[in-house]
Amino acid sequence: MSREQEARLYARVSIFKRRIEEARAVVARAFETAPRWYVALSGGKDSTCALALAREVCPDTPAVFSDDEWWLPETEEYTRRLSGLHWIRTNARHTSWFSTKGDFDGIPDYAQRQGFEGCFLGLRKDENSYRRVHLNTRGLLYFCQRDEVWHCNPIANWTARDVWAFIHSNEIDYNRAYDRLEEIGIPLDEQRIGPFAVERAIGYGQLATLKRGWPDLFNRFALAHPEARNYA
Amino acid sequence: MPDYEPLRITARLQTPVICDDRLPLDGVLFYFAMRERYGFEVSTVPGNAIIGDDADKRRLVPFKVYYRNAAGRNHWFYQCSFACWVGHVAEGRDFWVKRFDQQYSSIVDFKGKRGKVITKAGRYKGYRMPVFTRHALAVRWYAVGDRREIERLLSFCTHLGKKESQGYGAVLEWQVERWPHDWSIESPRGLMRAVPSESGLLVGFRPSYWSPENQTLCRLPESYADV
Repeated sequence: MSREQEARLYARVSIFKRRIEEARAVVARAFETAPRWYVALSGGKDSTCALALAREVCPDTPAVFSDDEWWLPETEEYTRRLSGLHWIRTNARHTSWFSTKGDFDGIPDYAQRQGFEGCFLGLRKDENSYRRVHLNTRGLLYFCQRDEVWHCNPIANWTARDVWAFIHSNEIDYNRAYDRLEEIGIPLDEQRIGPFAVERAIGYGQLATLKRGWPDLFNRFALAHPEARNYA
Repeated sequence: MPDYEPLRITARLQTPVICDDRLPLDGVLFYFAMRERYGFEVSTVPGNAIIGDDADKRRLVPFKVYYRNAAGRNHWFYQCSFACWVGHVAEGRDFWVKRFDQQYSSIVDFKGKRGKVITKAGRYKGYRMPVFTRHALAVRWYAVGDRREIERLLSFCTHLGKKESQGYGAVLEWQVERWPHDWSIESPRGLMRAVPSESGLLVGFRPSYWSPENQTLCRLPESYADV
């Protein structure tokens, strides 16, 4: 059974419908709390859902995408198809040998300068224990003291299956890099799209997957950052 | 003068191979030839590996050398196809894992100071790295080369691909046979290996395939099934 078929079937079960209702309710509550929101978009499936949920309530909610100099070709195509996208370049230190330089110190810095009051994130408890503890402690909607904006995680209680059911049952455009990940046999809950060499993800084979799925791109990346070959 | 002739080289596999679908044989023979010439290196310093000069490398592997001009540069590579997988190929995924063992935390040397074992980064970082495997009954290459010398070098090769210490890529038997056609670069199936071109994908076209100096824009085979 293909991912889409499974997702469409799963979209009919009641637990999925309850999770959608909960997410929509928290998004509505977020817009009541503060009027100016944006979505922190990585190009992955989770932020895609957060964006779709926010735009159900407020169709012109902007999405902010941080350019990390390297991205998958499918991510570029996907971001081109999106409307209301703020494409920015930020300073980020992903590993000791891969960092980016930009005009802003991360998306929160840019958001503050734009006067945004809240940020929709696509974090899920299902992803790892750190996020589970964090989201259980803070909840789905909270004020982040550090960034001085509201944070809303509408899909915090979703699983990867919920995410795909939402995408396929609502015909939402998504990053086609996931199709390639499925083609090379990466299971649903291990499919991840983001910056190429993040310290946390590098030990889980992020670059090995890149080499397998996009060998040409991997060679280009390794040409610029030879250390990448140690992780693939 | 080496006695070059068209050949078909077959490896009968016992276990899955950790490699991509290309699995170039000239890379394998290059390794054994280099090892024979310069000896086994116990350890290497990054950027300080023995590479050998170009003219030497052209003679090192017992395959005929092919020259091709592309994008204003003269490239050379060995006349040996990429892998042709025989019959059905099963693809799989496995992992290698490295995790700091807590029971040995008392013997970590912090140079007399207090310290903390950090498993998120650095020396004790934990890994769970996927490796992608391919398994078929046999894998074949078509080449133009010196049969005796190839057979001699292949006799050292018991495994293909990565993680041979874990049993991956075990070869049951090598067969080197004369073949009536030269299918090392092109065959009725189409292109058989990476060929430098004006456009295409950035990949390696001669050993060492990982080295940027041996990578350029290349046209690639559309299929890796046997001819």
